[in-house]
Amino acid sequence: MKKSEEKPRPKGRPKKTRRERMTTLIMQAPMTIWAALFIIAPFCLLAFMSFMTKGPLGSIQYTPTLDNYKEILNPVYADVIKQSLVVAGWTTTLTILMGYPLAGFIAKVKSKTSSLLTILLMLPLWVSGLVVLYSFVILLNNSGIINTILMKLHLLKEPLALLYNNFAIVVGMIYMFLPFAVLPMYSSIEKLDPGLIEASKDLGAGPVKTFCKVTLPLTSPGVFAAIILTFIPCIGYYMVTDMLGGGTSLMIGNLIYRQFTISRNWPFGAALSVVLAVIIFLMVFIYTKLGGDLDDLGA
Amino acid sequence: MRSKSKVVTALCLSTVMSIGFLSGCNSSESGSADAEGQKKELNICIWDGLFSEEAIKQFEEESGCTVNITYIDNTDTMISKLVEGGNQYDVCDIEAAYVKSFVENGLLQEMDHSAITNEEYVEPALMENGPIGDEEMKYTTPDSNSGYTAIIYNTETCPIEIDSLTDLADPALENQVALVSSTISLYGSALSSLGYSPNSTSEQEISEANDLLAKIKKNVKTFVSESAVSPLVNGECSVALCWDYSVLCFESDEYWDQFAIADIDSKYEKFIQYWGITSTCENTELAQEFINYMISPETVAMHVDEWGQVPMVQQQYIEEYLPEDFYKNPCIEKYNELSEKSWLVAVDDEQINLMDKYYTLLMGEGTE
Repeated sequence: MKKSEEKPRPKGRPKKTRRERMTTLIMQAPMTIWAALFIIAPFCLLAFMSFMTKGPLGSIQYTPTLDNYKEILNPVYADVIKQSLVVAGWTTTLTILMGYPLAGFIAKVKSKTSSLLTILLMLPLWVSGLVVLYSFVILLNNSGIINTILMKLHLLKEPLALLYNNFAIVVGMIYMFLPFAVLPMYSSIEKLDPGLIEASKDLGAGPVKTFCKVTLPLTSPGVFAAIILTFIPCIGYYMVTDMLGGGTSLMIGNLIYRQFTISRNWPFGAALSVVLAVIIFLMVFIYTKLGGDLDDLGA
Repeated sequence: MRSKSKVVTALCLSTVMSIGFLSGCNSSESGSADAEGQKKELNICIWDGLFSEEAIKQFEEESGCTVNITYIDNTDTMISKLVEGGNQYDVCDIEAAYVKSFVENGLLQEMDHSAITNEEYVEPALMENGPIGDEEMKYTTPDSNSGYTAIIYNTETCPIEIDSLTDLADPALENQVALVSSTISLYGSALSSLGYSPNSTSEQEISEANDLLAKIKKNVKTFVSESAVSPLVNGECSVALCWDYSVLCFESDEYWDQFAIADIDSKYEKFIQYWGITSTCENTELAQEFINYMISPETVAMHVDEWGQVPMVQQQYIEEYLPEDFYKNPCIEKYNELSEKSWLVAVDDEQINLMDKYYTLLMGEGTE
């Protein structure tokens, strides 16, 4: 027996050589530098700014204060945060309800069709959100494509009110966030072992019971990921409510934007941004505690 | 071998990234020097959609200098660049409402008006009364155009006659009103309509203005941050408080009869842009030469013809450079009428904070 074969095998991961460690370090360097410079450092700056005082003409006075956070508790601003959470909640619910069957369909069809459908689903993400929203304005307005066609066909006497209302917001929101919801759910459904569904049927469960007891629990990681991926961008996203909803209500995104521009109150805007970030961190934390995998979120 | 290639790839990526960072971080110092040691480079911060790039290119050719343009679409961006971004500009195009703040905060330097000879062609009324905060025009001079925040209505579809801002709260206009989302214009108009100064900093008066806006909001279909042309033209709204009358009139003569400005019992907000030389500008001669060029009748004609605006140069000096039918446009006559009935606003930090707080409250009211 050779000497090397006498050694017991090390437990866990094999120890990396110095060369391998160096390789890993160098491989990670570009992304680490990027994240440190453009994600972590700006966020720290934002958090620091949120404790400072507003100076004349939008400048920042480096006098520490907690006033910016106290101001957020003012019902005027607290209501805006609440409103944003409600809109994000509704959008997420509707997107998941529409996205789940679609994800199931894509997972069931043949591989080639599935790839084509996935590409079609991703198409909106290749176009600027602003362009998409302007397209909706053209499509939905009183003299837009839909109303013009319906009136030319004499199906309508007067144009339908499709723009600047809740209907337009829902359509726009779902369109923008559907791909984020469908892809993780598709990934979960695709991995589902068809044998388990067969077994459930063999044991006498109907389609609804099989869905509730087998399919849904086993695909829940994908659903959770979809909820997170839809809800988080939704909270801060205000372009849809502004452009399609008529901007008659404020979202937290509007509020932050206005503090950095019109009000020129950067410290208060920074405090609002930190609160938004905390809400997002909390959501991700709850997601991981519920057994969610950060890999499913693209982390 | 595979590992080696990975290392090489990663190193290449790191190098490319570093080069990318460094190339983006060029020196803020503007320009090279000519034989006399003067900078022949001018950094300007101007509004998008107001000036002819062709005209600026001509200036570069004539003066032999390079003009670096930064476009902005609101004054807040300009302020951020000037205050937080380390003032790197020589010349700025400033809204009248902000001149006071710019002067008070030392962002501008005095101009030598004797070097800006083309001021003689500017409308006398504009040269007689400077913006709030620079009434004697030590720091500023008017740029190419001016306009009004006015109530525009569709003459065919608007169901009522509009005599005041309060009329926008009439139930007959339900879901037919578009409003600008600018707090200054909104609250200024409401304050003016209530008989108060549009520059009021009284919380009581701003609160009353908010009450009026809350009544109007029940009829509002959309708040628009930039242009209210779309909801008016596509028929979504029949009336709008906005900046766009000249845009409509210059876009198509079909709109001349279709849209009109309401004659109201209070005044409208007048907005004018002014040229200013920043306090950090070292080559004031070149800056003044540029401003003088930009307000010459020929150059102003290029700006207003390209973007469809009402020129601030007197008609007799500019009309030869403009299309024959330019002065047939009804918005020019209307704007001349309104100049007697208008107010200017000067933005005050505290007032803005107060208005923005009420605006947030307004947006929270009656939301579905």
